[in-house]
Amino acid sequence: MRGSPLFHVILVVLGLLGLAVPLSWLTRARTPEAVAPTAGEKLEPSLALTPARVVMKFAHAPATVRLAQGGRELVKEEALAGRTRVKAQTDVELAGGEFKLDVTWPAGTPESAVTLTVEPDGHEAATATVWGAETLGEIIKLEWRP
Amino acid sequence: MRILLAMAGVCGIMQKIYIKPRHRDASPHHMKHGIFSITLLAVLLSGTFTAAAVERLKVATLHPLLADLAAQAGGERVEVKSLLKPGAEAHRFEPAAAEVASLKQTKLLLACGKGLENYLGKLRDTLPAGVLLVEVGKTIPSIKMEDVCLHDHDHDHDHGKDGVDPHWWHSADAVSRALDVIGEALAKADPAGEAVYEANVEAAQKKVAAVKSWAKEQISTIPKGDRKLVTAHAAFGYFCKEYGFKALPVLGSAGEADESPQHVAEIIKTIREMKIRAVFPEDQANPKVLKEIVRETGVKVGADLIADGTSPGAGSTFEGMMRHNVTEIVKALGVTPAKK
Repeated sequence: MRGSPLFHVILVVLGLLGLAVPLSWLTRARTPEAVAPTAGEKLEPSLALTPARVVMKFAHAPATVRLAQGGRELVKEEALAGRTRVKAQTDVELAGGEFKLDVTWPAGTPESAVTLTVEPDGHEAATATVWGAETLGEIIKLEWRP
Repeated sequence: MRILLAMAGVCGIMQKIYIKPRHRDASPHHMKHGIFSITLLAVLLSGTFTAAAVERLKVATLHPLLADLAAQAGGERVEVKSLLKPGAEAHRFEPAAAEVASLKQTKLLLACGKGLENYLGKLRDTLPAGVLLVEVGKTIPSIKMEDVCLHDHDHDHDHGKDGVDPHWWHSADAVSRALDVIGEALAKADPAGEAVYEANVEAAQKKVAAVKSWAKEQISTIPKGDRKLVTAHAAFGYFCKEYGFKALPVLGSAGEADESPQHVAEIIKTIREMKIRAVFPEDQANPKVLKEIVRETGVKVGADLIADGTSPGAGSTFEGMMRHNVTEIVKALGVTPAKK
């Protein structure tokens, strides 16, 4: 370490400042780029469709969850890490909707319940509870009061 | 700024180590000091960068109950302030120009919606750029006071904008939806925190569900025929619907006084005919008409209810407000002592 100590300090600080720019760029939060929906992925917009939140609550944490509505997959989760609540967004016709729910639980899980709630914006929620022992495959029909 | 301060501090330490002894030889002792200083500088700077990377998301609300929900959903990642302070009047409040200008660093502004903030349109036009305004109550199903009101509606006292009761925070189901809306808004403003917000919302939902179960259990001690809630103003529509009550508000949904003799006489008549057991003043509503009604009918007076969710302390949180209101209602109308 020859030369002026002050010079060393300045060199170190300049070096770190040089690192600061790429570091701050790498660590800052970003909004993920929007992915354009593929054909058939989104329901045709219609006056009869109302945006809705879908919430599934599990008595025991599941291993995998799949939820589909009219052939469209709303949820496909295979790494739930102990979560007991899973959400999705969809559009529903207030006359009613049909949901296909498939769940698996880890081996040894006792018979367990899933509550599916669909909350159309501005309307009362509709709820159904179904039961399964380690696996569940159920078609659930829900209706909302317009 | 924090980076500069940290650098200045570290440079000071390094100068002390390097320069004070005035030794220009590179002895192993000084080499060690040099390495230590550089390591210290790197550690401090990396800490500073980390702190900058997780800088808390600034969230403002137009109601203290929303601040409570946002704090639960946001946890450590957010810094929440309510422009409407506990103790203030929710129906008369409008943020001052200086308060709006102070939102420059704010990413998210939460409003109750449902017509409570009748200045929202104007506010939207004056908000600093980059502030996302979310009406939390927008997707919650509206309740019209006339749907839960005990008396007929030939009279013209106010029941809110288009007859809609804006006090959705008295329903656990509505608060549950509000939590989801807030969680999603936080994730939109801060995508890196999405998983944290989801987990926080899930935990908060469990608390809301527990409060609802507790409230139902408590209210089950009130005979169904006695579930009539006479309150100072029309603020309990959502509560009445969720817990099976009929409402008889003395004043309108924003606390407007209708002190006409016909209106007072109609309420007195309803209280007598329906054999109503108690009436409830509120923490912020004008008690004048209610006092007159009590004098005329001799009906029991319950404790003050928290209507607008703006009472200081626990009264401006969903749980605190609900536990207070349910306890007092059950105390006055229940047939067995309420368990807390």
